[in-house]
Amino acid sequence: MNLHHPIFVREMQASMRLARTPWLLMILTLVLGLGLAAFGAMATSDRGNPAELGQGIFQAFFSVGYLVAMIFGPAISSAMVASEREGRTWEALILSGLSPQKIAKEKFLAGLASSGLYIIALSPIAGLSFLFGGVSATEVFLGFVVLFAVACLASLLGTALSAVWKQQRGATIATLTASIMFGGLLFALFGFGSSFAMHDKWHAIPEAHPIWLPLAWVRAPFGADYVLLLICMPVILFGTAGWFLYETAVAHMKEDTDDRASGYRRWFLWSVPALGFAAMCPVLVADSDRNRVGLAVVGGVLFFGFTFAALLLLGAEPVTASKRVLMRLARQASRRSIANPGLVTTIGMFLGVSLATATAMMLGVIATLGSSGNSLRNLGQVMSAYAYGAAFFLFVGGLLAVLRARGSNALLARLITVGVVVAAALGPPIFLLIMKATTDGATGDLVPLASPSPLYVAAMFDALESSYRSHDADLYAGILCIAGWAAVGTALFGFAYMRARRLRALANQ
Amino acid sequence: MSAAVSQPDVTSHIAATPAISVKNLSMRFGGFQAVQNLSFDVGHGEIFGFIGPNGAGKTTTIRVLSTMLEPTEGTVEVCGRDTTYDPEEVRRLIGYMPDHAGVYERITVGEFLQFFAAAVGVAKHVVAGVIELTDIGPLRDRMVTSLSKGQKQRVQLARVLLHDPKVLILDEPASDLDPRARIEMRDLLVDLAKNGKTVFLSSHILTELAEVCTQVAILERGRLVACGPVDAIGRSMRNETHKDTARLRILPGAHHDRATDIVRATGGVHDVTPVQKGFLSFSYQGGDETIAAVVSALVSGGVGVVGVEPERSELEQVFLSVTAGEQQ
Repeated sequence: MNLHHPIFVREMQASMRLARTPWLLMILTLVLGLGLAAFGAMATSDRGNPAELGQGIFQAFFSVGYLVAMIFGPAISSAMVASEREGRTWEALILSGLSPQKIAKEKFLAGLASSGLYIIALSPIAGLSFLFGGVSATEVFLGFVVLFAVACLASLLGTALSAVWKQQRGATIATLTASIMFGGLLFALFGFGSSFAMHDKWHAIPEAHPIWLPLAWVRAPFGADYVLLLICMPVILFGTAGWFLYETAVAHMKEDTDDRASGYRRWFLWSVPALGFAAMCPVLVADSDRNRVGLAVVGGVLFFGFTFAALLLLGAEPVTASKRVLMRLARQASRRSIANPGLVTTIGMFLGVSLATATAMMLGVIATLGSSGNSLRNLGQVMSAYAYGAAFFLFVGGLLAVLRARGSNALLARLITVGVVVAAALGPPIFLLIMKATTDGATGDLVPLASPSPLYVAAMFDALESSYRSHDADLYAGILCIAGWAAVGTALFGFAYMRARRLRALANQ
Repeated sequence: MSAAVSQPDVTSHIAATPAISVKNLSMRFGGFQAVQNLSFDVGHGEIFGFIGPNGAGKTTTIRVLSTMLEPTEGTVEVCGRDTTYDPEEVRRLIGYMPDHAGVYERITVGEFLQFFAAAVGVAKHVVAGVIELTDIGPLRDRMVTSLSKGQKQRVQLARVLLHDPKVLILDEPASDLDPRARIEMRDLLVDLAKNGKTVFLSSHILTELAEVCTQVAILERGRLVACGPVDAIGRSMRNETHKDTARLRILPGAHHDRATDIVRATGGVHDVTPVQKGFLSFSYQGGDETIAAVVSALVSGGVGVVGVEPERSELEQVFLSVTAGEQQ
């Protein structure tokens, strides 16, 4: 971190000269201090146990700290790039020779330093919690580590949206909306919701306490489960989310003539295997094969959901890179790298990495399954879920590549792709329901009619659960559709590849 | 060793090529053709005026010159460096001041310039030199946002001079300035050109360009309609049917009708129109010789002449002739 970097220095100068900063700091500290004192007074009148009060203050303080980090961090950062564009200083800045990466980093650090002031101003109040017992000084310290990580993420969110929006007001509104929505969702899911699962796993972690991670780091016994759930998963999730936001900021700071998605491609190349591994962490610590299969399916759904969103993001890649980018690549003699620009290269890399990771995830789950009486069923269910997901994903990737290669603009291609995915997922089951209603079940097994939908995996699960041979047709229909989607996806991608080559040849003439 | 050898090579390469060379430049945005087949050169030390109605493609061309856009077709070079393939090198050679360039809030002029000096990687003492050159010393400790528009433009000019660029690209540098600030800005540009800087500027204020520009290029609907020194373009347009218009001021006591008759009777003069008391407007052919004949005839006829001046500046006349009456 370069504290003498011009952007950092200028942002801090401007921030410190803002008249409202000391007032905000004072009001926030007073309100939180008085609030916690009131909470303590009310709690001591009801409860006899000071340890519970200490824990309550700990949870209340860090929950408020989380709120402060999620509101102040993005609010400060959201103005940083948008104000340059709106104030017409952006061109001068970008032509000064500072790289977008450097600008993004320094803007983020300046935002973090400003929001860090608010957290530091509140820190003495946190000392109240361990005065009452119930939490240790180490847990309070680790609480600040988590708060700092949240502040980093929040500041990156502000920087990224500030780069996306051209107007400062729009950037601030979008950032605050996103931070309140995502912040609330993360607090509910990963804070409050996960505390129950963590309490089940390690009883020393209190349930229904959203700030459980710092407590778990101290209280859970160290072992493989500890490493996977309390270190690997949080680091991967925070790291990939933060990296993504940073690359979003950089991509939107680059000119149209630059290779805007190079950072996204690098991020994707590393984050997909990392997130695949994170999705597998709960599978690896599950206590039964039944739970393993369930968690593997949930992990697979989340993984393919993430890759689908990333595919839509990377679908904006132009068919061929600009002359400037091609020349730069030629000079670097790295034209054959899989992270190079160009629509087909990008989507090809994307599909390759995603499918390889999905295969590794599937093999990883299979390797952990025991050899009980239901092992064949478990194996079949895991394989059908991952195979269907991968084949359908290949089709979606091929479709988007064709649409873009045929000249559709990025937004239209994305909308068509989402439309086709929704139609393919919901159409066949709706058709099945209509057929069932109209024929009153008189025409035999109609379930295979829904097999083109990825939701049909549920029917394949049922078929594998059942011991009746009459359900074999359901299974075969699913396998046929898996092969069909994979074949169509490969053909579409091949067509897009040929088309992109033709366009590139034309551009080079 | 290699740096010592290559430095003169670079300098001689820069000197051997035009400061700006635009060849067959075309820019398309989707189906919209913003600039079409533009070609011109700008020599070192020139002040080059880039003129055109709104939407003619001036800012698009300037954004290509400043490496912010990549040409759809054609090449643009600054001191022999291609803006498409060597953007970093070109950025070191140019100083670009966009129209309505902004300033940062809550920092002083000195801090503003120190910030950009650090960003472009020049030593702190350069800031003092640039402040002296642009004569903004008294403003150094004032907040940038508190400055007048003219002062802000001077600060912007100081900013673009920090890394000692060879070529200054200024998009509408005098827009929104009061007359005094315009004059100061114009004088500053002339000084910079004298110091060897090439100045490429676009402006709507034609009289101002006419006074400072060594060459102009006139753009209309993305096409170059005229390029060269103002008087040369003017001469090339003066064919047999071309008429200029001048305004004559006579002594208030002189007989108005008599003056009108004398002017009308002078060879080369076409229409004579009394404008107001003491003023006559007349169209003529034959350039300065006709004007001299008119003045001589009036003086001989006992009519006191206070002055004669073209009704429009040369550049205005050229502009109106070649842009086919496009709205400004």
